[in-house]
Amino acid sequence: MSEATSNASKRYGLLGRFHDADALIVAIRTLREEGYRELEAFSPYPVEELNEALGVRSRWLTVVTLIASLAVAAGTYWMVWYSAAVDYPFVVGGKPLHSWPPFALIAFVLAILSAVVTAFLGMLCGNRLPRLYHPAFNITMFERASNDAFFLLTNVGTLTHDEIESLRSRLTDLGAEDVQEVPP
Amino acid sequence: MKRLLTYLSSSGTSAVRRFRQQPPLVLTLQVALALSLLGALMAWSTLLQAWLTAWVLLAFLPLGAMALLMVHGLTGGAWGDESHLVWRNLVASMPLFALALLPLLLGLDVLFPWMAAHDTLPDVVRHKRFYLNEPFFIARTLLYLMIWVGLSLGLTRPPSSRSSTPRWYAPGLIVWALTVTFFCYDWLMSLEPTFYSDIYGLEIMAICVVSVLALGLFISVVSLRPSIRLDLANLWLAVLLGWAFLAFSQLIIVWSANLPFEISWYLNRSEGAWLWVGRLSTLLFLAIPFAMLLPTAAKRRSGWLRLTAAIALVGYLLHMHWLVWPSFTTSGWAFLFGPIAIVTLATAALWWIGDTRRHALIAFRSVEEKYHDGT
Repeated sequence: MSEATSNASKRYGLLGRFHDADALIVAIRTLREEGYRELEAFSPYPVEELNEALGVRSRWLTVVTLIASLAVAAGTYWMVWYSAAVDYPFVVGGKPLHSWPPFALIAFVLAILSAVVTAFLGMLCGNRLPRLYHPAFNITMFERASNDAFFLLTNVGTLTHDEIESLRSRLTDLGAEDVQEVPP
Repeated sequence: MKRLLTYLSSSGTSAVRRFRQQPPLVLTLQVALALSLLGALMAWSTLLQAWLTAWVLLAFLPLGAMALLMVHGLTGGAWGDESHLVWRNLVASMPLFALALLPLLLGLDVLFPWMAAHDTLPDVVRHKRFYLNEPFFIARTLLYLMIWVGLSLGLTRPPSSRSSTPRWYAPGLIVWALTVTFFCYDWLMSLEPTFYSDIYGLEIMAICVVSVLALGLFISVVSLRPSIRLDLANLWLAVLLGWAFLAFSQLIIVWSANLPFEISWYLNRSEGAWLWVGRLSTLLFLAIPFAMLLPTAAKRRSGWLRLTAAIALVGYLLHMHWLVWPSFTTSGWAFLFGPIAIVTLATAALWWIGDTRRHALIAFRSVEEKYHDGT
């Protein structure tokens, strides 16, 4: 606390609390139109329109997952083929050395595994998780983000004092029930 | 065919002129039916084979729609609330398909090898004769058809009389699964009576639902909201993968065991052109729709889904041919009567469901305009 008062000019952002998801979406859309780009939203449950309102058009995770699964599938198939047909040719049950049905099965299974692992790890990286500290944790009301309140966090690192004050009143105009400063 | 008749009629015979006054659908139906009857006289066995192929190809669609309606009745969800019209209109054709299967009962001896004299059958088929025999087979078929007609009548009743989900949906779905399973054991699997696969019934159930989802989306996608399109496309993708899993399981089990009686089913289907029909149908029915159904944004677009559905339906057509025809020893007439049987049954089904339902199925575009005006 004493740190925050002594360093009053340094703020991470403004945290606005909204009553429902619709108000939050409207506020995000309006602020984005007005040129605020560094917005973060928090809600107790997934809100479908949120990504679109925030302008999150991230495709890299799906693309990376697809590429990883295809690469693992091809690699696995090659590995099985190489070991069964080239390196140690061994006839099993009178089947051809290069028998695609079981090979495809193993390639498919490992492709699914790699897709799941890539998507999970990519999600963690993309969300910068696990994250033990976030400036918003300093605000007591933020606990309600996992209960009944919707939050909009606006980064004000580059704004002047007056701009921050106008943003504060803007948030109130847009229906924020409470606006608090978030220390870094 | 129609153009030829129009040409003939202009040359003036009164009979043809009378034809011309019929609506095009009835005209097509009459001509196709006449050609089918001609086929019955000229090439009885080939016509029966063509009829059975056309029947499973088309009747699996309303069968799949029944499952969708009952599943939705039990689980609810916006996807079904907004798309039930198309499934219901498709289900309405079931009684016609029930009637259309009856003529085949006259030709069981032509269609099914197990109808041959007991002594000429291989051992493995002789042991199945307690199940595969004419009276029992006919009784079972009539039972399936009666159940399906009953379900279709129940499902096409006007929605006003059904404020809550009827209690019979859950047992209905169980009965549906059992009848579809045993129907395809009887009418498809026993075409090659030495072949046996546990998974066959599940595979057919999945294919019924996959194909009707493709057809329903093709018909009605423009009239649905983007989020509903996404839901239906995801359902389609899920059932499609389920089908692929089942079909591949059957392949790998039969392939691993490599028993002469079972593997011959696949050998028949990888001979000559069938190998390529099989590959092409896998590509069109599974691989391309799978890839096209991956991107989420595209699944909200009607044009994209309609294209995907059209590709999948062509794949479905090929797949059902691949599934049924290689079981038969057939004649060159198949090239003629195969398409004729399909046209006959398709037009008959459209004629059967009546003007209102038919127009509702064909005229989904007008609903789209309404939707766009409304919002």
